[in-house]
Amino acid sequence: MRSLTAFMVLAALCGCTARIELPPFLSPATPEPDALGPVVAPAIGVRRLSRVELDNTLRQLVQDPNHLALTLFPGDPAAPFDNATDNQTASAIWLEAAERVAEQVSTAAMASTSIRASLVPCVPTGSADIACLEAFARSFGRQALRRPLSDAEVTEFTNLHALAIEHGDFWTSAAVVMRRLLLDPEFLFRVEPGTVTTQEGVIQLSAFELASRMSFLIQGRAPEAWLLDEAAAGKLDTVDGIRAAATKLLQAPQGQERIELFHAMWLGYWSLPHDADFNASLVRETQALVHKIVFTDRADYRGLFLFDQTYIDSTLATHYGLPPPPEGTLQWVPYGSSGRKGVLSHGSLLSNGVKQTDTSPTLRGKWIRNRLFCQEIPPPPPNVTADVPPPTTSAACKTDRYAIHDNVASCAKCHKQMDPVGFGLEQFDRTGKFRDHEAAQPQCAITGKGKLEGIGDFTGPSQLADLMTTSGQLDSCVVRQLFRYGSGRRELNEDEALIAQLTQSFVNSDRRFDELILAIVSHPAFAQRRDLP
Amino acid sequence: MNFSRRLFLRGTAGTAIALPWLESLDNSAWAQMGPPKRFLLGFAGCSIGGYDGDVNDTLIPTTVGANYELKQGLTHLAAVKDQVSIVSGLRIPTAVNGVVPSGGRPVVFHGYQLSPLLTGMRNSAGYGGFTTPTPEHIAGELLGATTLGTLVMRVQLSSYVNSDGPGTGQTISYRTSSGGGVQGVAPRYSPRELFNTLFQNFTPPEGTLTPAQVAEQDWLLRTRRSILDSAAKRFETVKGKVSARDRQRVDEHLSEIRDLERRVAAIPPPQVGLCQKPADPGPDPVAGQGQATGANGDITYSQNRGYSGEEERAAAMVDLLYMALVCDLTRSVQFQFTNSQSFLNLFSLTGQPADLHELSHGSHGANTGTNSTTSLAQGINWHMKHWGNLLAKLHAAKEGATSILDNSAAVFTFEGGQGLDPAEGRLVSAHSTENMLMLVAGGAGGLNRGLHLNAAGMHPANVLLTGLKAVGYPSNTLGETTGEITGLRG
Repeated sequence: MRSLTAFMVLAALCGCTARIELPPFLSPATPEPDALGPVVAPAIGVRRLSRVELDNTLRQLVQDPNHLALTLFPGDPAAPFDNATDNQTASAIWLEAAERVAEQVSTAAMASTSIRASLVPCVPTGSADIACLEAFARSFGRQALRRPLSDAEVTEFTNLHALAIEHGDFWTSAAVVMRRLLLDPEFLFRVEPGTVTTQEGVIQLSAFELASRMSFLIQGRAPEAWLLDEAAAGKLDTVDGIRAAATKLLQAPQGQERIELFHAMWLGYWSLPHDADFNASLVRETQALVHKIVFTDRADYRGLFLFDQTYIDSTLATHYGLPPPPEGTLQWVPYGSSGRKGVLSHGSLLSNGVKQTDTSPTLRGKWIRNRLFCQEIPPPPPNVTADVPPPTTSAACKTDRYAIHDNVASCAKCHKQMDPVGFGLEQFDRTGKFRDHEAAQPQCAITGKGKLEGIGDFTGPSQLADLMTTSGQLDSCVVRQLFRYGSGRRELNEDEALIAQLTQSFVNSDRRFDELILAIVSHPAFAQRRDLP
Repeated sequence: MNFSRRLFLRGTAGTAIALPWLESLDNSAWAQMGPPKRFLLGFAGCSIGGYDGDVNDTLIPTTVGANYELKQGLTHLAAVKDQVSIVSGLRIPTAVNGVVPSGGRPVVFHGYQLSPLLTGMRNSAGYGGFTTPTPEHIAGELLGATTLGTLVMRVQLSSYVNSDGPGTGQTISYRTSSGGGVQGVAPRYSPRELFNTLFQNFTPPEGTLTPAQVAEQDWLLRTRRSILDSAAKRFETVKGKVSARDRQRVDEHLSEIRDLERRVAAIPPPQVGLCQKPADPGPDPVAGQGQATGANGDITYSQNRGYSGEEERAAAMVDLLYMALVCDLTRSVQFQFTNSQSFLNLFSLTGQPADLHELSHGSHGANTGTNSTTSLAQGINWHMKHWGNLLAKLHAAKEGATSILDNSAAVFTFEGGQGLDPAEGRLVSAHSTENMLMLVAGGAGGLNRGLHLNAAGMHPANVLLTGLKAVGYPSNTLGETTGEITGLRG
């Protein structure tokens, strides 16, 4: 059963009309952890590596420079994360891609003297050097399957040598073994058999499985050898050991890239609908702020939404109506009195919630509710359409056209949760440019006045950011989104206690995102799982 | 020693499974069994008309019966017009007061109308909402085992909006799942990979390879099979260790491996007569990025975003499908040219600065014709160019005294009609399942060709049922619809 919490929050909001100032810990979306019962191990099933995770892992394992996984695997639906287990359905094209990638990667690796020398831990004495082939199967198998291989498994994989030796070439044998390992279910999937515990239904992960979880969460790829070594040496058996390893993962370039990708998927700028140059400019702007808050300053995470400067060049500054930095430079430019603050003012986020070529206050409001408040708005009932904007014939101005939603009770119930939020951002078009009237209708002024039903009124992204951060709902939503990303599924009711506990920990750590990641991976529940119901 | 891999395989590969029909191809076999029947379902991810204009001007013939007139949206069918019947006036009923009728759809259009369209079942489940298999899988079960089984393919590379990853977009092909219910089937979107899948096992004619080359090919095949079999066994092991819920997914992947093993093990048909390994299409055309707008908010179609060489992809896929049918590697196909609610950029295809979806809405200056319906007709005709080419090739492909098209039921459908959209209150809308149209080609099971039939009030699934019955489907119902289109068969 899906979580009812978001619906309950929304239901609670529906009954409130006055502005509510809530202390962060007591906001509706941050219930007291103790009120939710004990924390339970999350249900996590077998997870298939995403296309991006396969690409990252193959680059790490065999230095694949051609991004064969990205070329040959079908795309993963972004919902908004690319790793939702429910979307990982079997298909002929996926399986054939896995087979082809395994074949091409292994052939290329063993054709390269430098790559094969880095992978094979011995110098083969000849085509029939079984001992060397076994050593390779053991070392590469440990990396590919992310755990030590048993002797029986080494024998199983090297048995293919009987076939390869006909070719009379050791590297052919090694390529066959590698190809087989890259088609193994334990390479393509994250299987976590763990150990059954005395707690009913709870499975304790092995240190290697924990290392994999950490590595996939923080770097989006299989663990490197050093992390498997630490697992083998028992260093992940303590909180300090886990935190030290996770810190190392976070600080690596791959960790920083992955944290940025989490934000890109969550905040809707992984794939932007503009010119390539403009897209790049917008992504660079948002990445810079994420990087500054999370890694450079290790600052209070609310700064992502509240920071009063943005990192742009003169072109984007002019587009936004901000003072441009010198031509050809990128600088932190103050927002001043522009009504902007943080990422909500970025063209990257403002590209979301668009219908055809203009902003849709409904979709923008829904997007804000969904992504930043973690609230679900039910889909339209079967007798209405959501595919086109309200008819343009009845009224010239967008505010008047959308008023139809207020005038019909069955519409208003949901739309009052969305439309006023979107209208509060209407002064910023789908590229983040300021406007005070509709482009095609100069007589239609855009006031930018909006409302978060039950929380308060606001005008523009700056005031929306203030409301979001003071209501406290952002805290739990960040944690919730990380939970979804980390577990490959939406939360269940029984996950609420864990989410609440992690939210409290996040708040207590002065809302440092890196500390949140460390709190997640060092939480006892992170090393446990239950079967999916 | 001059021996062929083919003969070699017979000796080493163990049981030869699912031998293609052409394996036993000779005139006496034809005489005894007759050539197989084929079922083809073509799909365009657009309605037939727009927000203004009239499909009677662009698609629907003025007269019924034989010798109908090909209008501007179908001119590319000219060479095969006498092989194609047009069925007009079809209708999927729409929800009234929130109640979805039998075989009907909710008022919401995009993504909700396709399950009733393709299965005849009402959609009360939401987006997609498929609960029964789509016709190509029903036909695939009927028509007998082939190397590939049912083929699902798509020209348009990705959805081009929100996500530009390859293969993205709504799933519209569903087969019966091993766990009960239905399972979506992802379309094959890469001509290069389709070529590999279909023809990798085809070898040069006997006697043209050296023994060393034959041995190398044999080794490659045995290695591939050994690796697949070994991996499959490990999937079996994993399957036994996971929860019931995971077991279903692992099992579905295992089934795909076993299917692939079966395809790899299948002995290719003899390359005789028309059946020849086609030319390698080479690397796929470069994948384009998603739709783009300039800083002023206008979609910049001339930049060719939202396009990945679909012209070349369509031509290559038609050639590959043609040869797959000639060589009897498949007998049932769903051929999607465009995604549902297609945002394919037509700039390189028809010269129109528009995508297919916007054409039907006449949005942002996309009207290159006199209205959105005449503009859309150009986009529709692009589909017909390649569909028509496929039909012409199948018509020319003789098997005995008949052609492949003579033994086929080839139905082409659009995702919507033109008419009332109750959601928006428009009387003339692309978001409508009124006044739908289907094209039926081929002569299997007594299909009548070259006619325009006005089947006012009939359901599109009645046309699909007629096509299915033409290839041997025994029932008189498809989903919640019953009966064939009068005059289309017999």
